[in-house]
Amino acid sequence: MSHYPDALARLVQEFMRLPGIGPKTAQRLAFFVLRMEERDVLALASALADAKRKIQRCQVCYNLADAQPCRICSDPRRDSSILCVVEEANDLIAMEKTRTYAGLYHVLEGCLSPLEGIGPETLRLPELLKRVKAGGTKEVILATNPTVEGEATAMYVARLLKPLGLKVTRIARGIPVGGDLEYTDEATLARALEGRRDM
Amino acid sequence: MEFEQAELRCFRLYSRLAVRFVPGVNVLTGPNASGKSTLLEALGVLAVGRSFRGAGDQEMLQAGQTAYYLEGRFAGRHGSHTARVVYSQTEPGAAERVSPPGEEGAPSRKAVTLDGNPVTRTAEMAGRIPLLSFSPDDLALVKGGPVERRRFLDALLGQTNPAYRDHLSRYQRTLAQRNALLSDMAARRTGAESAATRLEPWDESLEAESAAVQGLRKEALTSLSPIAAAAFVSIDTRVLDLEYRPDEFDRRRRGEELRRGLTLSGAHRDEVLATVDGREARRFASQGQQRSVVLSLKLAALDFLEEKAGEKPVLLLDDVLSELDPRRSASLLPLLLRGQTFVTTTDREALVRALVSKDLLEAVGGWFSVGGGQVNLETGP
Repeated sequence: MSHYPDALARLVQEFMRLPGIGPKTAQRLAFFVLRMEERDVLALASALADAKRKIQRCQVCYNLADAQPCRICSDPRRDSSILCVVEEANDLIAMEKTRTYAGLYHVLEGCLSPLEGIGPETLRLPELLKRVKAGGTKEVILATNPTVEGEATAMYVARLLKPLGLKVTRIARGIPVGGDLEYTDEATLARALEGRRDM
Repeated sequence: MEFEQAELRCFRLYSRLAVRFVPGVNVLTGPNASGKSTLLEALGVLAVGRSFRGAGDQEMLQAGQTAYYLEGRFAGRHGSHTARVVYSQTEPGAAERVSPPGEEGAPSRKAVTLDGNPVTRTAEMAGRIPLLSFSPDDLALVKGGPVERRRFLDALLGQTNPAYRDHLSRYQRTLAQRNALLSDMAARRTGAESAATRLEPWDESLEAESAAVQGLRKEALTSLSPIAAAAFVSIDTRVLDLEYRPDEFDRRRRGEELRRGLTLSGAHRDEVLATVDGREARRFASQGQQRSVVLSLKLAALDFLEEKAGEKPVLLLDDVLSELDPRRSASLLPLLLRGQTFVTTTDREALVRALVSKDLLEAVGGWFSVGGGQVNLETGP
């Protein structure tokens, strides 16, 4: 880095901390920042700092939020008798984009993966149990990913909740809407076939 | 299915090679280490995405190069297709060039396309170009441990059944997770009740995927064994029996698993027992008989592939005929040479003699000489 002026070297180094950014991209970004208008650079800097300072996990559902509880948890129009359990906040955003789900969420902040040392105690499971036990919940929808780890997590949560006597459901998997059977990948199609239902 | 042409760049000893093939039998002659097997290996990589010699992509790079390029044009029932495999070694900074901006994780180092469309999993390719290879190393199929025979079934089923690939990869992933959990709990001496709660979700999917894998293996073996037995009788006049022995996942072994930190039952412990006249081929059959068993299995696999794909597979015979005694190899030729076949040999005269004895000389469409990084079509034997 000795061929950069100090301030520039520092900027390149900071960019390199980001995922997927290597030395060359970091350098390109840094040079781009130097060419930007000063007010745009300041806006970027304050957006970074603001996001870090103001965004926290909601203490009810563990979604990313700028208020406690988050806007979804405090929305009176939402159906508080249904909880949708997801792995991460980005999964919640995906669910929200459907505009068809009007219940509440619970973000686990991960999924079971012994290979990475992630067990039930690492996830937001006691918090989920506490929420459900507090009453008012009629159905829990398990919307973890259809990966091996996501399925195991769903199964673990289902077993955890079963004794409480409420309805526990798992989202279906299969052919994407608007997808052509011809172009659906073979594994997905095979799974969809296995999961077929009576009509 | 037939390869029409292939292009290799920076692939082992080939700097740049373009070669056209013929339908029927293609004979490649050349001294040892002249590049015969390498050409077959390249065809294998194009069709099933991996080396039949078990080599990694890194090993297949030409010395001093950082990338290889393979392209193959092949014709099947549904017209002509082009498969392309490009592998580039990761070097400092290479990650940025290959992976799309903003994408996390390892860069994609191997790009496989079929008619220009990216194939995300090389296994997907395997279903499109039915191909079977046969080399002297395949003797391990009989001589080696159960893992060799499972690998044979896995490759065959993976080539013909996408659902199998999916079940097997989920099984292997679940197994790895469950083993990690068991070994962690063994070290911590986790109590039985807590262990049960933690294991159950993995047990459930391991049991389901294991049963799915075993069901398909059983089905495959049911259609393979009579064909293999019939082939064996014609070569060796003895009785070859293939018995599938699935190791069903058994939850009752949990106590022992917790002590040893390992999954002790399931599809990863299946065995296929081959017996000749009732005695285990691995331990009691002669070297010649063992070769005949392998050959019989390969013939059965060829039938299996042809039936599932609905067209004749490409067959790669790497230095195989020289391994068999003349009587055995001659009796096999008519069984083997049905679709497009690539045969390598160091001894062209011996091959010609064997072909003549079975009236098969006409089946050979092209005689190639291999050496010095070049492959040349000759006018005749």
